[in-house]
Amino acid sequence: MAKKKKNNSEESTSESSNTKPRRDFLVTGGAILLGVSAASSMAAVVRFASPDFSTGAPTSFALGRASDFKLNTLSWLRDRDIFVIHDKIGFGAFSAKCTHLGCIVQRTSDGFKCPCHGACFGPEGEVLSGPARRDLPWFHLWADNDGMIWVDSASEVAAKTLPLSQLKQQSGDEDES
Amino acid sequence: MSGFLRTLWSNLLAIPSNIRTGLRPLPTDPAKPSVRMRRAFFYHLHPMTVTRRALRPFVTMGLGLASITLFVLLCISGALLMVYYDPSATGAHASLMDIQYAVPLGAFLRSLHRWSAHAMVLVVVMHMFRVASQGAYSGRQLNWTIGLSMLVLTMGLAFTGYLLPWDQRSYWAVTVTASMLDHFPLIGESFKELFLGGSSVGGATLLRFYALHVAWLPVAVLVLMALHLWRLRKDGGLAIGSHVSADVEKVPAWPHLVLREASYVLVLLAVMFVISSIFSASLGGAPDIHHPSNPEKAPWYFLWLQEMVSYSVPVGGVLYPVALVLLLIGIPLLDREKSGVGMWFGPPKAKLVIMSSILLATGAFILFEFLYMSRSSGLYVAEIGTDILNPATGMLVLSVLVFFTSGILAASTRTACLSALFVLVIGLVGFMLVGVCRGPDWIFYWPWQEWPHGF
Ligand code: HEM
Ligand code: FES
Repeated sequence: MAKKKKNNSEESTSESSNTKPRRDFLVTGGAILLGVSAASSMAAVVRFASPDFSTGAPTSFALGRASDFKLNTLSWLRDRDIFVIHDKIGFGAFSAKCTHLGCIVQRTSDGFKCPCHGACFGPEGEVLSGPARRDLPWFHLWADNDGMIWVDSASEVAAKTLPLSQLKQQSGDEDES
Repeated sequence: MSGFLRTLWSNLLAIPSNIRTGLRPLPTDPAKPSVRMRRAFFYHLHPMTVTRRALRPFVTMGLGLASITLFVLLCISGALLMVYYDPSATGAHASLMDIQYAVPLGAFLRSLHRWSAHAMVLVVVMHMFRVASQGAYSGRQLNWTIGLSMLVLTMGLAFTGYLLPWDQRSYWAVTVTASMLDHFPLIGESFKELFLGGSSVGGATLLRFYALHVAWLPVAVLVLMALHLWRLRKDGGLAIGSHVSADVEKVPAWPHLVLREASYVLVLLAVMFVISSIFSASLGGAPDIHHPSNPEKAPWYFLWLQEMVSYSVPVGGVLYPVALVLLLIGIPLLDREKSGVGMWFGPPKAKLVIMSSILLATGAFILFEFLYMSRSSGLYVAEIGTDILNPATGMLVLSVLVFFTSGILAASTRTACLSALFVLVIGLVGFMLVGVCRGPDWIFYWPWQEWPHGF
């Protein structure tokens, strides 16, 4: 399309000067068309490289039954890079990924420490010191009728534990429905 | 019958002499058209004649030629490594163990590829500073821009290649480098996910990086390199101002320039081969994706960024790098001076101003780091203060001040741009060196100090 227009404009160079506005119009139009098609090709490439399916682990998954988590303990789900808290109020889960540059934090006697550049976090993931600026994010939890607790590590919530009854009323995303 | 046998026999006897005539050197007389045809290919890259000045080693230091040589060397050694390499999260590390320990000459090829990659990043950066220091971008805005794009692509090649060994170091170095993008406002996070093929480094990342590393990026460099060399000839060879009066007489490019270049390339190849047979590229254990080491560092050409991000995200991770990139892109627009092109740092007065800026920047950098480190003893609490008062801000502000003072002192836009550029670069080199000295918990240790045990 754009190519055809360009040919037209070349032919018109030999014509009289009153075709100049038309030529300018066609050249500008052609340039705009070329630009638009280049930009949309770029967009297509980006779209191609961003699939709708997830290429990594799914963000929502079952953590385990409520009874798997002992009262007043913090469990590390090593394969998921997630900590699960069960306290007297209820359950909560937060990320083990350091908010500085994404290393996995390790537990210490009074919280967590990131081995990469030494960021320290409190027992609920709040930043205490070091290069990290954000607290470890807490994730949305919900429970199904069997008492199986699910997490969506793509949705962040406020840092607090919730009783099981309340988790049962919460809804998950698509794979719960 | 006997006639056939006799001919066959005499043909067999004549084989040695016929091979010799068949391979006889082509005519060398330049008057013959066939000779001109053959040479035309090289005249494509070189003009018929060049100035004597272009032969002097310290005009270009051969850095562009060295970049091309290393690029070709990387393509060849890389294509050989592809024979065994398996770009999957489960197979990559094992295939490299094979190359390193079982494949004949595998360790040598790996080392050759690794050291040439580091050397190419260094050489391309130095080439850029050679061009900038001589103001050789003047009137060559297109080629300067093509060159900058090649610098970006070269760093992309080095970085995508860094992940491929898929050992503990490469996995976590790519993780921490890519995570710096998270801090970049608006586009940072989606950009990171596009490149990683997910929110963290995994098998999808390895495959993407591999495709970029062996196909997209090298082909892009090749195309730009062809354009770069074509523009160089169109622009009339090396940039040279009218002030240069020494050595402007012309000599034929063949043999004067071509033979010099050929020997330069051979020496460079020899150096790379010797280095690669003495020092082997390292290969760590398979990565533990739940257990990073302490400390985890980005590769050296991104380490300055990691060091600055550890001071402050808005200044170190955004403002400083953006200022540097804008200055590099904008330098041929900010400085339109025609005089002094081709002279290292310009006329004597400009030289003096630029050298003073470099000295000032070095002193200021040491002072800023000293103040910053003694204030917080290596760690600092998350507080607003360090977002604003840190060495990266110091160097950034200094570069703006130096831009105007040296511009006014030397009455030259080129001097202003170069002085500011060098202040930012002294910062970069400094931050990189400080980053190199970081030990466990990102605490500063002098190179002669031992790290605490257990790391
Ligand atoms: C893959 C990387 C690169 C290769 C292979 C390359 C190659 C070359 C070569 C062979 C020359 C001839 C002069 C010389 O040897 O210095 C040259 C000149 C030039 N280069 Fe590059 N270059 C690369 C990257 C860059 C970069 C990063 C820049 C700047 C941002 C740049 C800007 C220029 C300019 C403006 C010239 C012409 C000016 C002059 O030499 O007077 N190039 N390049
Ligand atoms: S990644 Fe945790 S402190 Fe840097």
